Amino acid sequence: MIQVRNVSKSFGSTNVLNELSIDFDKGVTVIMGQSGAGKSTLLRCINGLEKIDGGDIVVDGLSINEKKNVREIREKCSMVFQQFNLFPHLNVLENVTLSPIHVLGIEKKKAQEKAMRFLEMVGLSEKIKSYPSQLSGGQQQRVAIARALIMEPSALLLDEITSALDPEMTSEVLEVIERIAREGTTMLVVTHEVSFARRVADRMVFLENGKVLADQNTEDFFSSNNERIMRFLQKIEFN
Amino acid sequence: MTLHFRVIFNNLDFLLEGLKMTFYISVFSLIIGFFIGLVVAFMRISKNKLFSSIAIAYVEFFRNTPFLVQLFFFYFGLPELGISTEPVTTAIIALGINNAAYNSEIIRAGIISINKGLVEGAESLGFTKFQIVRLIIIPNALRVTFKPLGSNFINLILTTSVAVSITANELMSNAMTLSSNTFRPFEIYLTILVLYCVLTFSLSGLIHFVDRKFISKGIS
Ligand SMILES: Nc1ncnc2c1ncn2[C@@H]1O[C@H](COP(=O)(O)OP(=O)(O)O)[C@@H](O)[C@H]1O
Ligand SMILES: [Mg+2]
Repeated sequence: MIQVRNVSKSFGSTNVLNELSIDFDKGVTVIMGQSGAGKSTLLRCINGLEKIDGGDIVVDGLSINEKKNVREIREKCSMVFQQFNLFPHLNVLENVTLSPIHVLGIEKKKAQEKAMRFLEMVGLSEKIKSYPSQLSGGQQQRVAIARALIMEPSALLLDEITSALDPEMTSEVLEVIERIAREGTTMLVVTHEVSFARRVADRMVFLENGKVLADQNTEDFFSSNNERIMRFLQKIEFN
Repeated sequence: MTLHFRVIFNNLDFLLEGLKMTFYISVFSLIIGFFIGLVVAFMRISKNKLFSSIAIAYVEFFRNTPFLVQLFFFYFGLPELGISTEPVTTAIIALGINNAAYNSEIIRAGIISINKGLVEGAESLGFTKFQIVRLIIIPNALRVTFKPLGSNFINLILTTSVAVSITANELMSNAMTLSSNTFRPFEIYLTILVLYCVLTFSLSGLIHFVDRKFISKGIS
């Protein structure tokens, strides 16, 4: 579904991704790695927010190197960010319906009905008239999830979506993600939440210096005797 | 002293004619001031050093010189270069150019207020560049700029009175003509003070209403 082939990306003289190759298929893939390993850059490249320097990324048969494919790829891979990035001038319902109306060309009434389903799924059907500034961080992030889901993407890209939240809000957001995962949504999830990853991941990927250091099923990963992975897991579990 | 407001009623048409001209000058210089302000704002934040320097020079020059002198320069100075315009046109151009200097700083603040994450959030959903400008950037920039631009516009209306110095036949010019014909300065200037006040006060009410109702929704 998503093929990353020999992708390189650098910022100035910093090589962030080094000829990285990996395929993502159905199911939930959790990506872990030290800060600065290139996790965000990988997701941002798949979403076309960063332009790759070399290699190719193919999403449902569309190469990101063809300029005209970028918007279609973005429709297929919805991204949720650490900082929510909601539209502050629109209320919750408008935030969720803006892209189906203008990107997918769905009629407003239909878009609203559809939005209500997803807002219910994230537990926010009572808040449709609220503006982002009137919501807690956890609620804002759940709106952002609904806004991504309504595009019915082939894959959902989640980049440390709970890192800006306190523990209580973190669990309310992770619960929503777990529910969506159980419904069979394909997701690439960057997170430091170990117990969440154990529950939700079908597959674990560990990035180091812009390369894939480990790519295995969840159980094997967490019982890995690779020294660097063990040290990483110890460190984050300690925090 | 006895007040003779009859002079006002007898010449009401003449004063209203002036008010209409004031309105006309204001609206056209508003439009010019907005578009030049927009261009200057983008030049100011551009990475091109030449553009940003020109923009800074423009803003500082027009904010640090008296408007009356600018107006005289346009009206009396430019004909020396063979560029000569009617009083009304000159007033519109001078006011527009002057107002643009103030507007550009406000618009620049509006543009800067749009953070990268907001745009990326929209990009990642597949909006086109044009849709992002129309649906996300402009409405959010307006939240920062609408009221300050509105106060600039009100200032602009009041400043049109300076055009009396080149007799642009706006409210102040007509009032002055009337005053020297009738020797009733107190009644006449009091009346036009009230007219200016009614005009700008209701406009500022309208600006606040539009802002609250349509633009600043969701700001806590
Ligand atoms: N826009 C950018 N400009 C310059 N350097 C960047 C940019 N984005 C990321 N980097 C650098 O790339 C490296 C990888 O970043 P990132 O992908 O965000 O890592 P991670 O998400 O794994 O923490 C870091 O060293 C970071 O400083
Ligand atoms: Mg990151």
